[in-house]
Formats: sequence, structure tokens, C-alpha cells
Amino acid sequence: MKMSCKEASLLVDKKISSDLSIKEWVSLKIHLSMCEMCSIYYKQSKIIDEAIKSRLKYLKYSSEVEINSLKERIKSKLNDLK
Amino acid sequence: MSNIKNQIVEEWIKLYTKELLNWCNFKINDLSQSEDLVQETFISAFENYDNFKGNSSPKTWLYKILNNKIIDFYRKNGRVELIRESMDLNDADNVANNLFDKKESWNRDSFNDTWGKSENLLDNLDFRNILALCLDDLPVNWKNAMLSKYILNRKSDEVCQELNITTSNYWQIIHRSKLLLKLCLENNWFKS
Repeated sequence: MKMSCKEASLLVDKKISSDLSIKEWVSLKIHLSMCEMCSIYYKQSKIIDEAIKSRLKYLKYSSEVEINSLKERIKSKLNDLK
Repeated sequence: MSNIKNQIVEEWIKLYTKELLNWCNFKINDLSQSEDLVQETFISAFENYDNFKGNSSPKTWLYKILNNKIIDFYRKNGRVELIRESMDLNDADNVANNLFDKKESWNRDSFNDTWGKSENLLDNLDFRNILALCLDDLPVNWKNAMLSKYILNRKSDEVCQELNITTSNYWQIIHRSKLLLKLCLENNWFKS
């Protein structure tokens, strides 16, 4: 049975984030080979995925030590309130 | 009574500080400000503990407080243009559905194929900022699923458990979120 673009684009997003079953991957491949729009969606969705990850990559992070010290600071602040 | 309150809020601090901090930092891109806002969040939670009815999970409640703090922060800094409202769930569903026609093919009128080929967008700060704003537009539940997946790096089954949804539900949410992000980027980035 022929897969619709709606189904195929869902599989595209599944594929980008995790493994598809072989059956799903084969039917998606067939669809993509015939469908230009879904192929474009595949590329766009990948860019969105990478862009979210790269935003995260560029952020400064606190280390575990810093997070623990933040926790302690908040706790002592609360104790002052009581 | 107040002793129990202390214990509960301290437990929340232990459990949620890290992810609230990551979320806040993701939004405002300023780590030391984020630490302050997270601290204020727990202080508000402590002071307004009696208003927490347990209708929502503590985490949802804390996120709500933090998001209000972030909005105040934008206001104070004259960045009101960054304040976004989450979309209504039905509206979001409709928008996602309208991308397809009755035969479940892409709607040619709404499908933008002018990007995705060769741009190098990933190093572009403005692009990443717009994307962060677009994430904000998503319905609350979708946003939570996306954030658990990307910011907290949770596996799909963990997110399902946390949000009490099925796996197929989860993929629908991720997929629809991506569709909305595509549209939001097209409206806010590629048009300008």
C-alpha cells in the first residue's frame, strides 16, 4: 500500500531522532525516492533538529559543582525567610 | 506544617534546580541571570506554597512561576517583543493538519521549499534565537516533550512516562512540533 506524505513525514521525524524498523525505513526510502516534497522536508527537519542542538551547544553551562552550590544558596536563602 | 513545607520545597530544589536552570538559560542565554531567576522561583514557590493545589505536578507549577519571572525579566530589559504566548492545543493541531490535504499529501500552497538545500544556518545566532522563540509558541505539552527530548536528553520512553502519553502519541507530538517550528521559522526568519 502506498504511504501518504502525512505518514512519511512522521517517519522522517522518527528517523531523525531514532532508529526506524527495517520495514519502516524501506517504505520511507521508497516514498522519498518518489516524493520531492518529503525529501525537502527531510532536509528541513534535520536542520531544525541540528539548530536546536547547536543552540544548546553554544550555551554556557553550569558544572555539577556549581549547580550544587546554587542549590545550597537557595536553601540557605529559604532558611533566612523562615 | 511549616516543617513539612520546608522539606517539600527542599526536595523540589534538589530535583528540579538543574533543569529549571537549563531551561531558563536556553531562553535568556545568560547563566548568572538564570541562576537568580531560578532562585527567585523557589522563593516564590515557598512563599506561595499554600496556593499550590496539587492539581498540576510540582514541576509544571515551578515552570509556570519561572516563566513568569522570565517575562518580568524581558519587561524590565525592554525586550517585550520576546514575550510569547503558547498556542492553544486545538489551534496547533489545526495548523499542523492544514499542511496536508484530504489525500494526506502536502498542501502545495503552504509548503515552503525555498530553504533546506545549502544554507549554513547553524552558526547564525539570530537564527538560533528565533528558533528558541518559536519553541515558545508551541502548546505547553508539546514544548515540554521537546524540551525533555532536547535539553534534558531524555529517551522517548522516559518522556512518555513523565508526560503520561503513549509512544505513538509522543512521535505525533515531536512531529507536529517540528511542523510548527518549520512554519514559524518560515514566517519569522526566511521572510525577513
